[in-house]
Amino acid sequence: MELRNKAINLIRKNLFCIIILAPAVLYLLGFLLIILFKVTALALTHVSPEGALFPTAFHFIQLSKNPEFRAALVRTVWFTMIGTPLELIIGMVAAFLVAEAFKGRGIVRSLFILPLAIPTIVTAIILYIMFDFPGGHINDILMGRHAFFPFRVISYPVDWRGSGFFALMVSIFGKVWRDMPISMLIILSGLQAISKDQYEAAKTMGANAWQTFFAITLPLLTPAMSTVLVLRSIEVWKEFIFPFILAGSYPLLATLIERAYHEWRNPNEACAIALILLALIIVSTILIFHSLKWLRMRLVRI
Amino acid sequence: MATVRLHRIGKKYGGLEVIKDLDLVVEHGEFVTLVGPSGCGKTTTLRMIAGLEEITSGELYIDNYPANQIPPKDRGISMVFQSYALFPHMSVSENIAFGLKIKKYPRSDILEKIDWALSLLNLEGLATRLPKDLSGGQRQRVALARALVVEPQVLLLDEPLSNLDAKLRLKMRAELKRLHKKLGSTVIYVTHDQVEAMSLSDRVAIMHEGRLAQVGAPLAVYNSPHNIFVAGFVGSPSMNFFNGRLVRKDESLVIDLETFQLVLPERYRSKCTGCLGRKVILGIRPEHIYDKRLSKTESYLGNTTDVVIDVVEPLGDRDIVEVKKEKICFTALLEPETNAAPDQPMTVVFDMTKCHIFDMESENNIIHSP
Repeated sequence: MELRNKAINLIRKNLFCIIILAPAVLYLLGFLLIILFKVTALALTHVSPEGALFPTAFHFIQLSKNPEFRAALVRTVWFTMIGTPLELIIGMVAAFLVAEAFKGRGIVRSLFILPLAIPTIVTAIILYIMFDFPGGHINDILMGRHAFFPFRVISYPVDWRGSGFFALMVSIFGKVWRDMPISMLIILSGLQAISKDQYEAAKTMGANAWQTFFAITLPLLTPAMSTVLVLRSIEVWKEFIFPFILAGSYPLLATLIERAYHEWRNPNEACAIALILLALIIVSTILIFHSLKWLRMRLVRI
Repeated sequence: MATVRLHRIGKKYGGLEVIKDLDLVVEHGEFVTLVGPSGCGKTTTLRMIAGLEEITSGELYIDNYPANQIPPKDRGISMVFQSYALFPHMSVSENIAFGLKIKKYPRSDILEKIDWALSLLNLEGLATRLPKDLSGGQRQRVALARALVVEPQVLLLDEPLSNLDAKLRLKMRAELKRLHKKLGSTVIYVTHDQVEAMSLSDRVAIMHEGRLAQVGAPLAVYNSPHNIFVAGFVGSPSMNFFNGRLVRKDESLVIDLETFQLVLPERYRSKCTGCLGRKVILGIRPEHIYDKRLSKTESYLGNTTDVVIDVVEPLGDRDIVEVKKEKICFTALLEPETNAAPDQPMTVVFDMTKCHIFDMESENNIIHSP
């Protein structure tokens, strides 16, 4: 009885906290834990005419033998290794551009945010049309069909989407272009947190622009950079829309999940791919986090 | 160590002239303080010496070399910023090493110099700490160590004590003075606190609205301020000012303050006769006004007046007492033995040998003209 009263008292005291936290807890349960649990269960189950087998690594073994999966895995790794640094670099360049005060900075800043306002699917379709074959604007321009660019770079139109390299490069371009504002804003806030005094102190101590950048700006920017890299790399790992629209013949892991489910009609294998993708994301996040910590230590060592 | 010479230095931001024709020579090994109210241009002047701010007109000489166009790093200066500007991602020793590392000192030298700087400023044991794990006073010492370790010819300090609490500020003030005595470097110090300026410097340069109001040894500016601004700025509590007229009465010169009159000592007579009949401002410091009952010197006795005590601020060793005489209010620094209490009547004595008389128009000191 006393225990019950205690429990009721505890709930009463913390009622406000419970009400505030409840939606978040329900959300985590519904959209994360239950789904993750279900996906894991499916990935470890093999249904055959003899009956269901659980737990089994059957699908993982099957996948490891599947050349399509292997190709997608290699592509995804490349896609991420090129896409993530590009997201960071483009974001940094844009942030440095608008960090300095100049006339019309507000307009430039707004322009830089614009990609976020365009639905991803629209961006992907625009790129689809631009890089179409045999027509397409890019082919037209490179073949010198427009007055403003009278150079004939190529003699025959390029089948951009027919080449794995070009198809994925265009996808990366779309992805980086679309995500640039987020990276830029994170880096910009990091840049603005560095006080002017520190630059001046470095100047009086004889540091030139390069030394200041590497000894002060870069190390103080590593928290922002690590945020960008972690957030963006997760996004790039699981990128779907751009490769789905622009590189249909060259699936990445994320698009392969869709194919496994719809074309192969194998939901268990789709779940297994999803788990592998999740594992890759977790490992890469940890790696990025630690390598940036190391970089920071490295830059300031005596 | 070097001399710093400012010759007709001027600074304009667009059309706004913030520094006008500044002339100042800081001698080798001297501790000079630029002091003035905020917005007087003292920090801008320091930043021009450091090379962080462009000089609009005039010439700057460091060690007798024209330095206007020399970049900050080659001027042989070190600067301590008001915010300390420590690099938050570097430990104490990394902060101290930064300038040496940039100047490409060999590693063994750097380590040796770090040790020297750490022990000079009593920072031993803090070498691996990050700035965020230090107290205000420790940060301040790290900033000093970082500035001193490169052996600057001129050390520039921009309000280095303003972020410390009152007690620590006193301690650091003494420490700075000891440090200057030990190293003998040329120091240019900026502060808005006149007490700090007076207590630290060999000479103080008092700035007002972008101009030098007066330069001199602390006691010289205290005893003979050249104008009303300096008189009011130096000394705490501030000097009392009274509007009056200089008139002759019998054999002597008298300042007529309408409600009462004060007789000038004989030795000021020759300097003041030119201003007879003109409107003047009488300045007298609170510490030169006494309680008549406790005053030992007979000679003051001619200059007394009856007042009513308005407010008493006891400091322990002295009381700051604000008194009223009809419409006139002024401050006196009285001994606690006075037992001053609000609304009490008392008689005060003015030590007119310590008074200052300023011309109403030019605001210059008639007695102590430059």
